[in-house]
Amino acid sequence: MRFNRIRVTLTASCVIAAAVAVAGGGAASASNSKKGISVLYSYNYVQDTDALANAWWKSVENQWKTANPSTPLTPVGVGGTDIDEMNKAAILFRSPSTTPCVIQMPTTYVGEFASSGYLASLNSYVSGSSAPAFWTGMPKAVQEMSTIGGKVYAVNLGNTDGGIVYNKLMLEKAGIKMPWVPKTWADIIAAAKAVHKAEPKVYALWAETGVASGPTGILQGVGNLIFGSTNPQMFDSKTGKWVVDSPGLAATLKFYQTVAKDGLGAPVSQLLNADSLAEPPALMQKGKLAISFGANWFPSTWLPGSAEPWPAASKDVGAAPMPTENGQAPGIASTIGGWAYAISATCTNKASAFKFITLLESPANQLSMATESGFIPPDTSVATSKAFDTSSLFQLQFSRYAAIGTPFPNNANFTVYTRAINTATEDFAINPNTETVSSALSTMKSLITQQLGSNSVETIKSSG
Amino acid sequence: MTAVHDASELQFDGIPVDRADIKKFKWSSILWLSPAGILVMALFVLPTIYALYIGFTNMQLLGPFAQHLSFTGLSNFDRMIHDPVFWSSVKMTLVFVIGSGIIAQTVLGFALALLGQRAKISLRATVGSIVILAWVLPEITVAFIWYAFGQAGGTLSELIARPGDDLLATVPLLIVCVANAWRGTAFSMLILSAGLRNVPAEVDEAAQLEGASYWQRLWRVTIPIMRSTIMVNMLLITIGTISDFTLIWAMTQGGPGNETAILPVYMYIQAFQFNDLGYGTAIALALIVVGALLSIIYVRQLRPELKKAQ
Repeated sequence: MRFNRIRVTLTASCVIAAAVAVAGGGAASASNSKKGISVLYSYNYVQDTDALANAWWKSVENQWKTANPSTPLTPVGVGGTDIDEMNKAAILFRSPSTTPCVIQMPTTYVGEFASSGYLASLNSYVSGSSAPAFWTGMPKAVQEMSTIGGKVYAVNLGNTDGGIVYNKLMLEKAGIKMPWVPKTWADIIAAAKAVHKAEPKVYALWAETGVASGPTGILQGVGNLIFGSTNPQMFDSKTGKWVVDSPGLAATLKFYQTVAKDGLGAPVSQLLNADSLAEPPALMQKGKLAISFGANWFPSTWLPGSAEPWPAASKDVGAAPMPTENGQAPGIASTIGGWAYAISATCTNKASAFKFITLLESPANQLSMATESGFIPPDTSVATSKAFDTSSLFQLQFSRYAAIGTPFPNNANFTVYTRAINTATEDFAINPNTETVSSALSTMKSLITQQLGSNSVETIKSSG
Repeated sequence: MTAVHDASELQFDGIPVDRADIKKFKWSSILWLSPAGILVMALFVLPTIYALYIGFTNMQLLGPFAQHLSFTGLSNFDRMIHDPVFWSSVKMTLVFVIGSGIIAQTVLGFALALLGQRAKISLRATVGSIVILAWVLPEITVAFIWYAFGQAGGTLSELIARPGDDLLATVPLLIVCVANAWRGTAFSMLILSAGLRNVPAEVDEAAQLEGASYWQRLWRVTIPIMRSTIMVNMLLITIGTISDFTLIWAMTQGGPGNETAILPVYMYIQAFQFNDLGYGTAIALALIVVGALLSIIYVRQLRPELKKAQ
């Protein structure tokens, strides 16, 4: 029996290691002293390169040291994707001794951190006559992205919104007149079909999908269709339920079905790759992709010295807003999401922390963060400045789409919805000839109900 | 019948002496055992107990129950029993462990070991080095190699003359299984090569003199002699494969859908993507049960060897 025990122990120990990883623990690196503050940020996912991120944070650290020599600042950079940073943060936040004072986070996670009791309300800092200029300069929609139940939990540092980016040369070759501005979803499909007919070997249309792309995939893909459909809702705030079936959602999935079935999209493993979010600008630059559901950051990758320099992009690339399903009012739609700064509930030096955020949000820092990350600055005065307009292509154009942008639901269970909708759309890419809209809807419903229960979902029967 | 003796009864020339056949407990041994004991307690026993506790709660990574968790009894396990994805995950785990680990790695490793035995030393060394290279490569590197190999336009689809086929999406479990077998075969080859060297040459020669063919000698002489080596090799493969996460996560993230979400991956998805630490830990506990069941099978199979050793 001793042998038995050893074997079981050996096997179990491997498994337990994984269980322990799940059950908690984690390296403590970000801590708050009573005197100083710490900031947790992503050096790997926000700015275009790690070098840019490191230089930016070094610069703000120096600015802070000069202005506040008696309040030490501890920057803690985290690598990996946005999801990796949030997982790391979630583990650090489990103990006050490892919780950072300030955190740079995607706005889609603000709801989850707030519902955990991890974030401090910033109302006292942004209300009344003493509200800082960067806050009062933000459009109301941007201010509300991190506001839950009247409490402001984070302040936006930059946004991404959606639109359509296309290679003019490839569309012209397919007989499409420039400038191309689709009025309905059918116009997009028609143009993609024309490209596919003219050049069958290129990818006519990139519609982001796949579970690996996470919430950013929705921001850059299916979310733009859902918000432009006749039922522009992911979550029904009146009933507190997730919408898993509606004429608008069915039309959205039908769009994905058409793209897959008619061979208009990219190969499935390229679409489902974890790096797929970054693929479209590179493919377009190489003349392999004609039309892409895109985001305002795309053109920044074509700047000199960037990942895919494309000097001719200003004349070879076009951008258009995402039309609504049938061209119904308001005619265009867009997702909007971004990153924000928040203060932890356990921070012992909240006043200094907000002072630090005010420094991070200075016009110069907003502008450099936006140009290095492909963001639209949250403060309108910076977003409409000449310096921002000339920093990259289509900046003012995408700034206008942001005004009608719809943010994602600020709900702790958005991650469940994310996986469900990404699974539903990727099923078309995997099984283009067999997957149906009704089966995709039912997949989505079952994934959410398995996780959140049958009372968490609803069906909307009419277009609204 | 074994008589129980009190060590103090034994005397030599009237002086009590210790019996050599009964080890007497010494209090000082606690001191020597304490470092190992503390490590085992801190790194294994306590985390196991904690994981067991978390499995019975609604603890979240993020959300209302992140800080204010409560005991929820068997609800996580009840949910697991009724969760179709969990059961499909169990099936995939078994396919992955048994198919790509136990069977494929053992058969391929044994084949390479046998071929190596008959090959020239230089050829054996060259092939062995190439095979071992796959084993020493970091798992993440192996994942990217096979990711590139299996996607549309990759070498694999070119080899089967269907360059447009996206095998990683159409047969994802098969591709990750092949990748795992490719990576782990070298380990089996090393273990089984060492085992083959311990098979007495005279036994094989005797069988040959009796007119046994190569396959008969392999099946009836070599494999039975190597039985315990093969079983231990399979056990080690099982341990290494059942908790594998990196390879699949880097290649498919458990997708498409949940088609490659073996238990460690499904556990991660629940705990770190859906924030449900309680349910994720319950899945981890289920993984322990699966591992324990497989271990019991090995122990039963190795019982004859153990009896002989006693």
